[in-house]
Amino acid sequence: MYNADVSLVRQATDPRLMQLMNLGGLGMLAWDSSSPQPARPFAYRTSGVPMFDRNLKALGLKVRANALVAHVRGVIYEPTERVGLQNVHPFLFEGAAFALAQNGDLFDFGRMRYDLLDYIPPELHVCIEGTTDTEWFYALCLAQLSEPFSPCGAEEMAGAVLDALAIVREVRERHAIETQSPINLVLSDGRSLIATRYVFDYGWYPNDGSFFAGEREHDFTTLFYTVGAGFERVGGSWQMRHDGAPCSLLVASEPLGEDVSTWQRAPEYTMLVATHGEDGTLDVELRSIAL
Amino acid sequence: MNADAAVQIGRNALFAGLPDSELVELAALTTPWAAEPGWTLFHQGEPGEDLLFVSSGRLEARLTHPSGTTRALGTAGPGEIVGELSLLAGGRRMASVRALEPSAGLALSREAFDLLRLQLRPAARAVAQRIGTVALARLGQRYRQLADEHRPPDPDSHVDHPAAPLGRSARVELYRESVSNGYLAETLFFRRFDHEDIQALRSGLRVLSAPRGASIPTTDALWIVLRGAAQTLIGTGSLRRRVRLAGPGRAVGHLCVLESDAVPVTPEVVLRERAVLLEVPRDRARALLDGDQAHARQFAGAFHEDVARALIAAEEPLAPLVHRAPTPSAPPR
Repeated sequence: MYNADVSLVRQATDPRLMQLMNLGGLGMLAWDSSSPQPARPFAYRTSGVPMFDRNLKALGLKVRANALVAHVRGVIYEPTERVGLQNVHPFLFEGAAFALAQNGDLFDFGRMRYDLLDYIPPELHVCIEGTTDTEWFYALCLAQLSEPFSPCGAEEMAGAVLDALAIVREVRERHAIETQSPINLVLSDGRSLIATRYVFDYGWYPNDGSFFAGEREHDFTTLFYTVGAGFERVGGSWQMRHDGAPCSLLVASEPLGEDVSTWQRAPEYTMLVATHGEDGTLDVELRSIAL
Repeated sequence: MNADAAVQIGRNALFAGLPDSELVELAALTTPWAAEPGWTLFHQGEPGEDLLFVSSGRLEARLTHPSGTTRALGTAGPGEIVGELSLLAGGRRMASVRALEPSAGLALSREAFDLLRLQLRPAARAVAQRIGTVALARLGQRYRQLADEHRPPDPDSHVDHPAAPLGRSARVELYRESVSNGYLAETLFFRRFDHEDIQALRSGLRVLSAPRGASIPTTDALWIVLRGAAQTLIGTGSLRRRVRLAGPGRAVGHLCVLESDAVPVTPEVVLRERAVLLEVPRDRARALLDGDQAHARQFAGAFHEDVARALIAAEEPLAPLVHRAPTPSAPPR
């Protein structure tokens, strides 16, 4: 969160691979298996700039977690943006099977929003408090589970994501929404992790001078990961160690260390599925998304 | 000082034969560097900002894989260069380079080189063309190497796999579609073109659209993606892999400009998204690469930049993709 060369807190104001700062707030969920109710994560959210947040710093110094999902929210510099705690990722409905954070935008989401109600049961859509497309997509993912408020496995999470992506593709087609919409997701229940690098209609931009039109300057929204024995400062730079069994995984929109040699760029249109094996080692699979 | 530097620069094959006045001009843009044994001059993955000429000593390039294993790629000594793709494509360093001995030389920054290119100086154009030509040959070799690595041991075991789910081999009919010059000017390939250059380049060329999954023939034409995305695929059956996804302003089918007996392998190109493409027939592409009109010079520069980008993408270690992906179930409503 703080110490790495390109830590998440630094990415709020000084991201390496983005031109915009991420000033829409920071959220963090941290699972500690030795804490009471280990399936329930520590949660902290702020809509402020995280580097000025003493409470976050204090938590960072104290909390030790087995798994953590954190997100700095990028918003367009426009008064139309809604910045507030309700819109800070990661989202986790009370008692829900997993949490979710996203980097991306579903273009013209306002036209799709109420179509999605057909796919989200009332017990889930009443949980939606904010205005982001991400929270709706989160509810849509949970709706694909037979029991959204019970624990589920990694394969169920992965299947829920694919089903939700297919629904969004169908709704986009119904509304003739054909503009590029990246949707890089991270889902976790503290034991397993799913991440996607995916874009609907990659390469199709509006021709109107808007923020979305400007995205043609950039390439496919990035996702990097590194797997090893532990992420530490080695010789002045933070990097993954490879001197033991793989038990650590980092997934991020940009590498967290100056030395990026052990970071792997996830290919476009892929899903990463990480689980712990019977012997406690980490099993990481990268699968193509055939949508 | 510049005369000495010009002599050093002229020793390298990429710069050999340039007029002395051009070499002196290039030399004036360089800065000296020196390194003790063990010093790292640049790290893998960091932005590539300059080319290094080696005047003395020896440098070693090392590639670290995501697994943490490291291997030496080669060394460079007096008269040789490292980091030449950075001049064209920028991007990320493909390997780390360190000094094996006390070493020294000159550095030519991309920024300085770009300035010369913007001024359409002959030396910059000649060097860009030479780097691009070498990169094109390396791209063909890299595709050949990847094709060999992704050839199934049993040719009868080919099965479709989800890494290239849209790779239907059947060609589809292509349709005409219009795209404005203003739109093109904002894409990567055409960013240095003015509107007259774009108009001259487009003259006689077709802009076409095709659906997702269409297979694009690249033996006889270069295709510049204007909207959507095309993927370059290597290998067959369950071992087929995507080595590059080309979005707007990027090209596919670079190897078509080579003589056919110099093409080591023709990768398959399949649209990953429905796309609009500018078709540049092989003969026209070759004529543009050799041409002297302003639009031809711009085309050559953009082409060689894109070749360098394609090479960087192809040389990046491929992620270990698992060849299975659950098919989404029918959306419940």
